Amino acid sequence: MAEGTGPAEGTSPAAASTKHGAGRALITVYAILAVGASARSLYELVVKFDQAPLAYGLSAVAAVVYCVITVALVKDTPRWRRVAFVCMVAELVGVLVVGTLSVVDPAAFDAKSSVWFWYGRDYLFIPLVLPILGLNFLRRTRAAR
Amino acid sequence: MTSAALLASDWPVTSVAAVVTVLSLALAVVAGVLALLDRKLPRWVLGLVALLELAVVVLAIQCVVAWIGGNAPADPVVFLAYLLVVLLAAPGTVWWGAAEPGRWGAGVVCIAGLLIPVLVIRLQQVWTGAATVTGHG
Repeated sequence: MAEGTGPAEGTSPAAASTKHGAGRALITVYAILAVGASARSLYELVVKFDQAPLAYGLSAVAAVVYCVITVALVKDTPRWRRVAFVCMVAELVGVLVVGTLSVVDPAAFDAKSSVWFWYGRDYLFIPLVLPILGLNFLRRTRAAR
Repeated sequence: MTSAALLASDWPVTSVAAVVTVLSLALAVVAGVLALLDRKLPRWVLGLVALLELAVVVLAIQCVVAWIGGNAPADPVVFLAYLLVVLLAAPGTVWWGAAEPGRWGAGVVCIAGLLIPVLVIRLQQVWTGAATVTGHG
């Protein structure tokens, strides 16, 4: 295994692993979303990007965020843990902003094809619930002060 | 669009798809209960997973045979992408979950059991051209 599998450095106790326990299930769901969003996004970007650049561009952003979070949770070091946290916050903001925009102004999202359209309705609202579960998981497992 | 898309693309694997769905949901229930009971995955669950994967492989073969026979999916590229994912879903998640000693190993397998029926529905939608989720522009 690579660096960082042992306890974290220094005085504070190590944070619990993001790769085991509930983190394992979290990684599973993130990996599924990463695969789904990436494949969909790749297809959209290659085949029909000019039809709806905004929605498809946002799909691509979402795909990248899901991929980074998946990798960060698997890497399981204090630094990657911060990366996961930042990306989950971005994910939550993204799904709330894009979701709200798509409800208020559906015309702007004509193609109905962002992963975050209507708060992720096409994906059983998992994109909305997942960052909340993820952030809660990171909070519960962080190093005790 | 090719002429194949204009023909009605009949979903050629209705009964196998039903078997896959039932096996997969059964796996989700079993693994979900094991996770709730805080048990690790017993070996016989792997037998259920193997049975499920066998059904998925049969489904894939029947699709390909129908395809060769001229009953092509409405969107071949997307269909193949979904077929690849559904073939890898059970083995991949079991590999990932079996390495986890606690209840979440079973939890991971439960997630796979819930995922595969959704994938089968999407497979059918993409094959018949009823797929509207990706938007036709």
